[in-house]
This record gives sequence, C-alpha cells and structure tokens, in this order.
Amino acid sequence: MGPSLKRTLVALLGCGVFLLAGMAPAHAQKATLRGFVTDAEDGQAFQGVNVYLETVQGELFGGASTNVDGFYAISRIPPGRYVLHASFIGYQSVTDTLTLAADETITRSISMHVDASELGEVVVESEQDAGAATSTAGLQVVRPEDIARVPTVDVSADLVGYLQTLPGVVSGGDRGGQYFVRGGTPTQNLALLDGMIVYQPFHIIGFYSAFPADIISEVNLYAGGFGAEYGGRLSSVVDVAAHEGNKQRYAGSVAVTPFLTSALVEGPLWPGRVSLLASWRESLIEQAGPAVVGQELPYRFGDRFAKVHATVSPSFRLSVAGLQTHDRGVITPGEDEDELTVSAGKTGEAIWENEAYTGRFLFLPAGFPMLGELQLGFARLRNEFVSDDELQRFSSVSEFDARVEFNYFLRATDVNAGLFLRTARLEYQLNDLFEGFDENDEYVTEVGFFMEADMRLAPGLSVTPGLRVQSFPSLGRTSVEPRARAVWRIGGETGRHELSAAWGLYHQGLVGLNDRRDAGNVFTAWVAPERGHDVPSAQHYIAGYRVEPVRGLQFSVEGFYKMLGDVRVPDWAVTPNFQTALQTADGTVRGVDLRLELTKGAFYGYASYGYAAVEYDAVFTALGEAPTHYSPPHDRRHQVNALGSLSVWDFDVSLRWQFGSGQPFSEAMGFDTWVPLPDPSADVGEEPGIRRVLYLSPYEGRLPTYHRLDASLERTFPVSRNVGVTMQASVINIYDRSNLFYLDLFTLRRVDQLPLIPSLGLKVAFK
Amino acid sequence: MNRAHRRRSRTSARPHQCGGALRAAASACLLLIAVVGGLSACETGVEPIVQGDRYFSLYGFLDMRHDTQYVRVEAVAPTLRVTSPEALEARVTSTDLATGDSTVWRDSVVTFSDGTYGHVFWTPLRIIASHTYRIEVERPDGRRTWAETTVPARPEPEVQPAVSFNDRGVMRARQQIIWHDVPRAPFTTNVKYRFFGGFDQGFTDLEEPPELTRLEDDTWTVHLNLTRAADSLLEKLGSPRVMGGVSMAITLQDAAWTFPDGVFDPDVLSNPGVFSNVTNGFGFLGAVGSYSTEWVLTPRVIDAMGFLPPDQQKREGQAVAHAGLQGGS
Repeated sequence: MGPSLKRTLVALLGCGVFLLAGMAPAHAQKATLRGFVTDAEDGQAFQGVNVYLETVQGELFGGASTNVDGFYAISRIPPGRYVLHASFIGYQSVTDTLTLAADETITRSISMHVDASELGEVVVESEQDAGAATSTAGLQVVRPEDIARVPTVDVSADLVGYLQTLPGVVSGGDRGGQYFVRGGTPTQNLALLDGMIVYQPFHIIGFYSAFPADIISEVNLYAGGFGAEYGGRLSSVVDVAAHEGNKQRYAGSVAVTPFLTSALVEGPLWPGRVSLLASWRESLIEQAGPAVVGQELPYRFGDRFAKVHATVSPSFRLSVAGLQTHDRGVITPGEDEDELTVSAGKTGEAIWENEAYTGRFLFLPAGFPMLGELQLGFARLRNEFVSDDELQRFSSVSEFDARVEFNYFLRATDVNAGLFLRTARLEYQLNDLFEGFDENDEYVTEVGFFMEADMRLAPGLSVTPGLRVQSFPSLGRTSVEPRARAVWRIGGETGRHELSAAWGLYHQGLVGLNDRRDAGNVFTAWVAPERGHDVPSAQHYIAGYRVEPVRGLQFSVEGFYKMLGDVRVPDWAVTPNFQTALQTADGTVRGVDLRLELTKGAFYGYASYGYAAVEYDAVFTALGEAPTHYSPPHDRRHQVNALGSLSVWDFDVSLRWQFGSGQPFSEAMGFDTWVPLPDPSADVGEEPGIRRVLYLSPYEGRLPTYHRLDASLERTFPVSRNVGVTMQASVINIYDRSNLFYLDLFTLRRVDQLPLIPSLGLKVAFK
Repeated sequence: MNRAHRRRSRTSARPHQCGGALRAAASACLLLIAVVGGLSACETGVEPIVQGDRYFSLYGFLDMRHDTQYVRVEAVAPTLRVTSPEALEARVTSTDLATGDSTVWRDSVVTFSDGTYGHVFWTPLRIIASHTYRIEVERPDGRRTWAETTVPARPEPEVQPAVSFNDRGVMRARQQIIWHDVPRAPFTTNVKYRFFGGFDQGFTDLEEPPELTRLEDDTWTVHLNLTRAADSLLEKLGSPRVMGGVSMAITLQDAAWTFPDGVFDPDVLSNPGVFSNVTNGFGFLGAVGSYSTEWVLTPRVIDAMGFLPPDQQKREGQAVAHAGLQGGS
C-alpha cells in the first residue's frame, strides 16, 4: 500500500467517522418509521408507492417512495401522533394512525390491495420516473411494460429489444451479442441481474439477452454518469432487478416461436412468505431457421434463471438467485473456410457460457434508521473458439463477490455506503491471438468501498456526491473515483421542467480484449492489464433537460462528453496476421440524445435521435510515432428510432423503425504482395513475399446505412378465468433490407444481417 | 405476469379514447411510411476497394554485380488471393536516362516455395555507375507505373602504404584503405589476397574480412590487420606462397535504400507508402554498385606476413626458412 493510498484511506475513514458521528446526535430524540410495502395480490415488493406522514392536524410532515425492494423510510420524526398514508394509483390507500416516541424506530410493513372501483381509470403518465423519454443524467428506468411495446420475433419480450431503441446504444449486429453504449465497447459495460455480474449478457442472436421481460421488475440503465455504488467499468451499467415471484398462488406460462421456446413458473413455496420464480428458455432457431428465414442459422442458445425470495421476518428478507446461459454458433458462416479465414479466427464456432449465483440479505437493524444489505455472489464466464472440432483458444473469468452496504436515512439526506471484495480467477490460453497475452492463470483481488449521499437540498433539487475507492493489492493499483449527480425539478416534485447533470471518474481494472476490427470475431479474453501500463479510465460529463409540456407528452435532451484514457485497441496491420498486437488509445466521445414520448389513450409513440462521435488517438506501429486520429468501427454517428403501439379492439399493434448511419471501416486500393528487400542479398525470384491490403487511411470509409422496420400484432384470448392464450404475429425487417453485418476486407466476403423474418408465437399463461 | 403488466392492461381499457389514438397512430404511420419509402431506396452495397491511380507493385533492384537484371511486377489486385498464374498484361521497359537507351524486359512466371506465383521480369543489362534508370510498367490502356533509381557513384579509394613494425619482438603489419564519396555504410566490404601457384598452377584468391570500418562523414576507413590475416591465410594454404597482391571490393546501395529509423521492420515497412519510391504504384526499386581496387604490398611487408614477394618466386622452395614472423628482423 503506497503512501498516497494510505492518506486517501485515512482521509475517507475520517470523513466516514465524522459523518456517522454527526448522524447520531442528529438522530437523537427523533423517531424513524420504515418498512416494506408489498402487493397483497401476489405478496411481491411494491415499488413506487408513496408513503407519507401527516400530523393528526392534517399537516404533511414528509414521506418517501418505495424502492425496488418495496422499502421506505421516514426519519427525524419528532415524537407525537401521526397518520401514515400509503397510496398508489389503482390501489386502495392505506391509512394508519401511529404514535411515535423519542428515539423510537418503528418497522411498519404495508400490504396494498387493488381498488376494483378504479379499474379502467388508471393512467400510466403518473409514473414520471419511467418511460422512454425520462432520461435523467444518464439514467433511464425501464419497466416491463416499456419492453413489451417493442415488436420482436418473440411473443415474450426481452430487454435487448428495448435497449436497441435507445439513442446511444449501438448494436454490433443481429448476431454476436455485442452492444456499445455511448462510444464504449461491450466489455466496458457492467450488466447486473439481482446484483450478479453477467459478463456476457447478450445471446448470440441479437433478439435475446439473459433478461427476459417476464422476470424483470425494473431496469436501471445508466448510459453514463453512474454513481459510486457501481465500478469496474468505463461505459455503462445495466442493473436488472428480477421480481420476487408470486407468494400467494402459482402462475406461469409456456411459449413457443420459431426462434425460441420458453417456460416460466412462479408461486409460493411457503404461502405469503417464500416464493419461487423460475424461467427457462431454449433456442429453436437452428432447427426452424432454414424454414423461416431460408438460410442456415447455426446458432444455439438458452438461459435458465431461478430465484427464491423469503420474507423471513418484518425486518429480514432473503433472496437466492442463479442464472445460467449458453451460446454457441458460427458468427460468420460461409464457404470460405480456408486456412486464411480459420487462422485469422474468422471462421469457427464461438462458444460462451455464463454462470452467476447470489445470495442477498436485506435487514433492518433494530434501533437504527438504516437498511442493511449483505450480498455474496459468484459469476463465471467461459469463452471458447473452436475450429474443426479443436479448441483454438479459451478464456475464463471466475469471480467471487462479497458486498455489505448500508443505507442510512436522514430527513433530507440518504447516505449509502458499502464495502466490497472481489476475487477473480483469470484463465486464458489464447494461442498467440494477442501479443503479450498468451497463456495465464492468475488470481486478482479487488477491495474497496464507496459512499454517496443523496441530499435533497430543496423541493425538487437533489445532489448526490459520491466517492469510490478500489484497489488491486496484487497489482499495486488503486483508483480514487469521485462522482456526482444532481437533479433539479423546477417547481418541485410536480414540476414540468427538469434539469440534471452527472460527472464521474471511472477506472476498469479488468480488461476484456477483443479484436474490434472484425465484427465477426466476438472472442473476448478477460485479463488484468499488463504491469507498467495504466488501467483504462474515463471521465463522464452529462447534462440534460426534460419537459412535459402537456400531460402525456415528454421531451428530453441530454448531452454527454466522455474522455477516455488508455483503452486497449488492436494495432494497425496490413497483412492478415493471426496475432493481433495491442496499443493503448486515448479518446473522446461526445454526443446528444433527443427523445420524444407521447401517450394518448391507447396510443403510445416514441421517437429518438442520437448523435455520438467517437474519436481515438493511438500510435500504430505501422504508421510511425505520431498518433493516428480515427473513429473506431463502432462509431455510429446518427441513430433514429421510432416506435408506435396501439391497443385497439383487444389487439396490440406495434411498429418500430430504426435507422443508423454507416460505421467506419478501412477502404483499400486493392491487394498486392509485399516483397521484403532488406539488402542486396534479396532475391525477388525466390522470396514469395506477404500478401497485404493496400489500405487507405484507417477507418476513413463508412459502411452503408442501416435501417429496418419491424411490426407485431398480438392478442390475448381468455380461455378461462385464470388461463389466457396469447398469439402474436410479427415481421422483422419488413422491407427485407440487406443490412450489412460484416465485411471481411481480406476476402471481401460480405455477410448480411438477417432478412425478412415472419414469425408466429403462441403463449399460454395461467395465474 | 407481474404487476407492471397488469397495470398496463388496465390502461388499455378506455374505449372512448380510441378514435383520437387511431388518428394519432395513423398520422405516425403515414409519416413513418414516407420516411421508410424514401430511405428504402438507399444504397445497400459497399465498395471497399477504391479505384485509384496505383496500377502495379514493383520490387527489385538493378545490380552491377550481374549482367542480367530482375524485377518482380504485380498488378494491384481486387482480391487477396492469387489462385493461378494468370498472364500479366504489362509491358516492362527500362531506360538509361543518361544515354536514352531503352530495353524491353521479358516476363517469367515463378512458382515460389509456398506455392504462390509471381511475375519476375528480366533483361540482360549491365548498369553503369551514376546513371539513373527508369523502369516503367505499362498497361495496355497506357496507364503506367514507374520508378527511378540511380546507381551509386564510383567511390575513390585511397590505399595507404602498409606498415610493418616490431611489437615486443613480434613483427606485425597493418594497412588502411580509405574510401571517399561513400555516403552510407557499404553493404559488403571484401578483401582478397592473391597467391601464385594454386592447384591449377595459376593463382589462388583467399578472402579475409577486414577487421574494422569507421565512418567519417562520407569517408570510410578500412583497417586491415595483415598480421592476423596472415595467420589465417597460412592455415588455409598450409605453406608459404608467393603473394601477388591484394584486392578490395565494396558493394553500395543507392541513396533511396534507407529504412525509417535505420531499421528493417516488416511491420512498418509493409505499410503501403512506407519505403516506396514507385510512382502510381507500390514497391521499391533500388540499385547496387560494386567497386573494387587492387594493389601490391612491398616485399618487406609480404615478408613480415610470412609470405614470399613475387621477385622471390624462384626461391619459393627456400621460403620455409622464413615461415613465421621473427622478431628483430
């Protein structure tokens, strides 16, 4: 531990002690009310419920909104008698009279019942914290109903379909499972499911991820500017919370489409206290692909998820969850399986498997206005590349996580602090794929802590400063990362205008190596950066404005600027080398997102435009010592998405169109043979030379634009009171555009994305 | 299945709003169809190969050491693979720009050790020092790729007198040859010693590398340790012979044959445009000059080396008595 780290730790420890010391007297003589809110219908946590206290004279004291665990807390309450209210549109309000004594901490859990008299009068625009246009300083909250609006090939929605509609999210194509968020690369994104790290969360076919909508309670998508509780990645966070499973009765569904078959079941293991949620999906695309699409689709994938949630006591909740995914397929199938394409890793089968397990304990310490959380987890990703039934290379990362976190609730400030420990085993055998990384098996341990305070400074104004310190003792690296977020809803919580901003410093201690020059090469190796090299870093600056000029119409604009440092990029080469040397690049990403969302009765419309410019500076060996300024292959400058859905005559009709400007590639003048002439002993009649591409400048060309129109029609037929059958017809790529997926400059082989895909889906659900 | 879905289903139960919603949806659809209709005509093709004014790659060098010259010529191709030895539609000529003499070269298809093919053009030609040659490769449509190279000029050798001296009782001999007007390090520097009376009863040339070269601007000094050379030569010859003289040759590359940072790095040099002097094409054309000088050593020095001077040839049989360098002689 270096002197600077010691000083930092001592300073932070001092700050923490000071803060906690200040909290204790402030808390003295005051009472705290807290608890969990559940839906009486299924016993699951109820998020977004407004819980507030009034004095018996009818004066509003204060309140809180429940989080994804259904938890609320109201602190610093003077002793006295109060009336507790809990309300959510469409549910019966709960009212309770309480007497709170000094220094008392009361846990009062609430069960909400549906208000049958309000059926048909619910308006979704009341939920202002979610929706396609509600991006706040890089954060977008996604709910299952948002995901369901996007037409897909499947009768059950998937999170990835929704992500594709977001400005700033660039897909690597409809296969390969690669996503780029605001200029970051896929391995710079952090994906979490109930706190479990999912290293490769997207399936090999781009319509599916490890996150089926049916298991999702809420998704917090940070396109940047994420707070101190997240770390270890430079670009984005997709934090998925699975719902708990029905604690009152069994429910489930079975669905089948030409691409996938799936089943889901949930129900009480111990009615009212312990629930099970289990999901299983397996692809059918390999069997059905030729009939539906008219071409071989050699892909197999699937996922399994299970979660057990227990309400052990009013103050103690426990959940255990596990996820397994598997994918395999030839990303760029073709006839050119010769030595050149095989040796360059262009032809062969990519295989990856995720495993993740977690145990999460939520507890309310007696006598403290605090929510405690302990989470233990294990995550593993194994990535292989196989050619001619021989394992060419593999990479495996296995990670154990432990995290303890405390949320301390003050009247106008919530303090969130935690400690974490991670030990990762990094194994790889790359067969000389990347220069300097051939074969290794090492353990890397990361320890650190974070602290952030959500301070509500005035009605509608909150500021959240934070700090994260993470250290890799074995590598001798420590990073200190200040963060800050601010949101100002002008005019208070009900105001129509909102300004937001975020800033943060980020480092990535474990790096995913991938040859980004080649979209068909998805093999990724997770490694610890070489000693003597700085770890990749980023600074995010985000500023946004959101307005709701009239009810049901929202508009938002958000600008962002990222500074990237020491990111790993493949070196420039003009020969089809098997081995890729790596260079470090600095860069910037700047852009703006515009979103417009309209909800009018049964119609929902959403349109977005995203501009993002990604620019790198890297020294390429072949191009001399001066840095080369270029835009990497994932620099999609312009994106447009339009989505419309209409519920009419019991049919749900959805239409979605997406457009993306062309991505960079390197144009060439042709090919020739480079003949080495080191000295006059060379013989041009004996030396075969090396075939090479006569490139123009790196990445100065642009591929054709991408656009596609998808549509779906869906209707649910009630079979009985508890059983419904949903039928869905969908067409992907309606006008059958030949969108380019992959162009191999060495062979000039072009692989297009999937053509027009008609699909019929059937889903039987019971409840 | 979850609460969110249930809330959504309730929101759809508002039939009185369907008319407005339908109108909004219809408007949105019309707009979308208009945009899609306009864009669906967009080009989906991609042309990764940009036709330019580079037609051929040309590799090789003109070599004064040989009376036949070779260059490898290849058309800039639209594909990476060369699958067959297709005919190359090219006319290769060389022109001596000093004299105007022009020569048409002949094509030959070469199969390399890795199974690939190449076109190597050749012509009988002796190149001349300081002359500039242009090699042109011309397509049938008249488009041309060319490169020029200037043969290194003849340097001026300055043969310093050999000296012999007594070093602590052992006779030693040294000599310096100074080459002027050599701007770059010679590729080769060879020294040969001629002896009479070889196997064919003519003469024998034995080569010994010089020990040291040193650059002083465009002047190179070659140090000959004659004593050490004599030891080696005697070992090869087996017995003292009559030494006729010494010759020295140097091979020079032209001025353009200089790598970035002075290092032959394939990763750097294979980049198109790096280390290239070809116009309207790629590759490199160089030139090699080869020059030599001869001189004779004084009898004293030859004697100090342990060999027989030419005027003592008739006394060759007595030379054994002088074998070795005796101190004090």
